[in-house]
Amino acid sequence: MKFRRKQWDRRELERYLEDTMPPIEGSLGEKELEENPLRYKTARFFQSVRLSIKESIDREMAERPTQYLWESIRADLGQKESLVSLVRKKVLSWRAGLVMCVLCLMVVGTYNFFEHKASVNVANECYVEYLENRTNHVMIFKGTDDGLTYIWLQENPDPVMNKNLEDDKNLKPIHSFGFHSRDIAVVKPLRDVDFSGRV
Amino acid sequence: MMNVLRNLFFVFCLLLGLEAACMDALLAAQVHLDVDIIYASNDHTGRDPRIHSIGQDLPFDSLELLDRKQFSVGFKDISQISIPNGGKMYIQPESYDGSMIKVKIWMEKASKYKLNMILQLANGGIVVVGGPSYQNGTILMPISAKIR
Repeated sequence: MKFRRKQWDRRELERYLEDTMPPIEGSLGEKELEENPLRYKTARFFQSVRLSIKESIDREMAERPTQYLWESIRADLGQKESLVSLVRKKVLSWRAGLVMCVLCLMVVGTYNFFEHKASVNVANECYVEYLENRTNHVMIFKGTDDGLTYIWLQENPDPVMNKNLEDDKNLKPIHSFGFHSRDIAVVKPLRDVDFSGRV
Repeated sequence: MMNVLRNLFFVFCLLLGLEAACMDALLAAQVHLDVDIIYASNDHTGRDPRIHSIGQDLPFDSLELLDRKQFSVGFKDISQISIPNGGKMYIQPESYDGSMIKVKIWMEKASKYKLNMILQLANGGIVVVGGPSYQNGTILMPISAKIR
């Protein structure tokens, strides 16, 4: 990224200057000036004003080498002796400091973002926030081998299969509820849950 | 002074662009849902090699993959899955907090059962919903949700 100065049209600027501040001293005759010293003084004053404005415009329009961002930071740092002395003297450029802080924040933020994203992809974590069933017995298991959460609706009338499931050593029951028990299968009651939406 | 302001403006624009890109990515996120429909029984027919989502924890010696459904949906979109025993299952991703995806799932079969639940599932994680009866065994449905 290069910061370029706006290229002004010199003629346009000079025309503007002439229009707004005509050279008073040129319009006054020598005789008039000699006769009226006060008028002469005023004319000189306006001339100096005009010249100072013209000089400042000329200075701004003068060619200057364009700087890259890093060049300006480097130049800024280069004006001082060393980083240690800068810190000691507390004269470290706030500009360079600010840019460094922003860069550090960006690096840390990007790292955190990707680290976070990578870490959650592998886990099989699952929390049952709400569960409602009024017709069947429902159990929640956690598999000891695969670490998966099993939500088991006991619709199967086969009592042996259900018994096997409950007695399985590899399944760790987390919660069991159903119409047999007092709780109506609500792990975490939420009043605003709406299951009325249908395809 | 103008140089300083220009530099600051440049850095500010850069940060703004980065932030906007991240927000866009999150807002336009699609949830990829993977649902396997597995028939589990003790028929001694063995385990279908296409099944990778379930380990050896369940007390069934036979697992057969009947169907595999994949959806790419936005938040609040409802996906419908037909269960072989005549039931229906609906999945609706609700929100994503940066690590967990909140998913609303409901399952019903006429007057036989009606199960409503809200789960928080790790991005890319799997939860297994099982139990509906089918033939000599039962139906297992590993559900996986992942932000794309």
